[in-house]
Amino acid sequence: MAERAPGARRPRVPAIRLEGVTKAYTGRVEPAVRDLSFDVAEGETAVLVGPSGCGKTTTLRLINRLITPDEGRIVVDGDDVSGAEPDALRRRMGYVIQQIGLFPHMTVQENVATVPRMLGWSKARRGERTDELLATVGLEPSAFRDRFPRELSGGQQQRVGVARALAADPPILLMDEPFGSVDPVVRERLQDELLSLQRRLRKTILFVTHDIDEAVKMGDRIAVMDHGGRIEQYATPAQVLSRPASQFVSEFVGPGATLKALSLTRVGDLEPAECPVLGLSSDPAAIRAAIRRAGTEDALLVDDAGRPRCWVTVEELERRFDALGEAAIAAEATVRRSDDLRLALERMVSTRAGKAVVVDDAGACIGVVELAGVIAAVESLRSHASVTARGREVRPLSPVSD
Amino acid sequence: MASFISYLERRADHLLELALAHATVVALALLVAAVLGIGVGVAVRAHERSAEAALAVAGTFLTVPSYALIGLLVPALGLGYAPTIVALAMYALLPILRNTLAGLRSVDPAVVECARGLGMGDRERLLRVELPLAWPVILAGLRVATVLIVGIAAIAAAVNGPGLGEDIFVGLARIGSASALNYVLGGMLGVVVLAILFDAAYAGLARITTSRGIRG
Repeated sequence: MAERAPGARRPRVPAIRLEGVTKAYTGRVEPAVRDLSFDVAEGETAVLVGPSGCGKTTTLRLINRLITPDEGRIVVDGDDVSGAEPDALRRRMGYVIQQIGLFPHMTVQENVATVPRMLGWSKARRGERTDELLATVGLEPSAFRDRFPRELSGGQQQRVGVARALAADPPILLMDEPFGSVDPVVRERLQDELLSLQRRLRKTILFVTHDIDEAVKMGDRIAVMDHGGRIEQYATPAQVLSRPASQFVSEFVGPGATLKALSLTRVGDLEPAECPVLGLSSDPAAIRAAIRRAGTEDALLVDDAGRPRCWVTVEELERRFDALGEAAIAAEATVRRSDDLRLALERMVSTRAGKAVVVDDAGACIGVVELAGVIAAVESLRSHASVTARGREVRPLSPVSD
Repeated sequence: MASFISYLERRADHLLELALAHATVVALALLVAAVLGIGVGVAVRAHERSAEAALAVAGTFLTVPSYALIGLLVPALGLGYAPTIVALAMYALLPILRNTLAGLRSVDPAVVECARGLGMGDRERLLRVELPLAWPVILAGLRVATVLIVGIAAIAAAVNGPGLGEDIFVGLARIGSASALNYVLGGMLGVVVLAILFDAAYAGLARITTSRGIRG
């Protein structure tokens, strides 16, 4: 394949491939993982999710050879890792763990520059790289460079942990419950930041978690694992949520799978609802005409800056056209295009209007979404998932043999 | 009391000379014990049974009476510096070995895991991560060992060894005579002052050699 059309996509070589990998720990009857096979495509985030003790961390540690498989093959970027020098292999993979594991006796700068130093980068280049990375993970370099880990909060420490893993620009990141030790608010922020980082960097990420919500949020693909390292399902989050492959998966996903699936779709993807939008000072007759024309039950009134103020129905107009402000329902439920449907639904059901106004950054109305739109999105998610599940895109895993 | 002070004045040069010899013997013995203790500690840290065995051996050394140990070494090593340094090193071994092991074991496993996961080789991990983190504990072991052998070193005079023991032994041999007490007290005072100076040196060393990130 020497010639390749310019701009053509590279052939999809899996960045990580496991073939029939088995690992048993001495003193334990059941192997931690048994005959495990799966691929992670280059530039994708694959999440291993499952109950504790299911072998997900073992799987991660097999890939960077912190442990050696008893059987099977692990191929990274086309090379069998059993032939690689372990330290060289590990320097090509960023490693982030739940306990963070920063070197407490080294400054932030020294921590981040660990791998570059081992690779023999000059001091100046290491300093530049550290500053660049600190900025990337949201830490002001001049304020944090010379601090020690104990002078940082948990969230800041894990930002440094991520920066350290990215330092030598490795193509692969292995992350073992990286946000498991920070509080929920910080976790959410770190997740969002990793997602936006990943949109830019396009690393191949293998991410381990026990939290299905985190898996759904972070993964391009989720591998749901049962004890013994058996993968019950390896598919997109939408597929796992809408078409669980087994009893175990549906139990693990738990009730509310549909609600979880809502977080996969953005408000901007919804079909906007039909709704007349008029100025606050509009003539009641004009409002009535607009509602009739649109065939809706109500209209949205906005102020001079286009910010939503209230919903008004035809009946209200007829009854008290002189006191619109009192009769109307305040249009308080607003969402942005980038919000997910979970939030949109939450906002919709918290107001009597049963719909939400989509606003731009300035708070001006740019559309309206309603429950019917959310339901339609869930429907399409489900049918789309089933189509791809049957299509060639998804390779559910080599058959699990046992 | 007045006679002791005038004794100190008269014998100042002599006492200083003895104290220097005393300090030299202690320092040399510490050096030997540190190399051995830290070296063995590093070597056996991952093998529970070897570590236990090494600790047991070092512990046994400490139970042998100092007078007997130094005496036993004379046929093999002769008189003077050699048996003194070897005996003192044997006594210093246990605190240094034990603290080396304790220090290395106190290193957070997550930190070691990360070092390995980032591709740090065994040797580099030991020198850049494990030993620096274990250092405050190892240093505490060295400090205990020092206080211990500064006192024991006085016994070295029994085998013609150098140090402040010389005056103590001379004094004890002449007990009853007018100057005997001054000799003993002078030697003792020298040992105490040396111990205090060593301790102060350790406090300074700990500050200089411990990263600000792990200083207590």
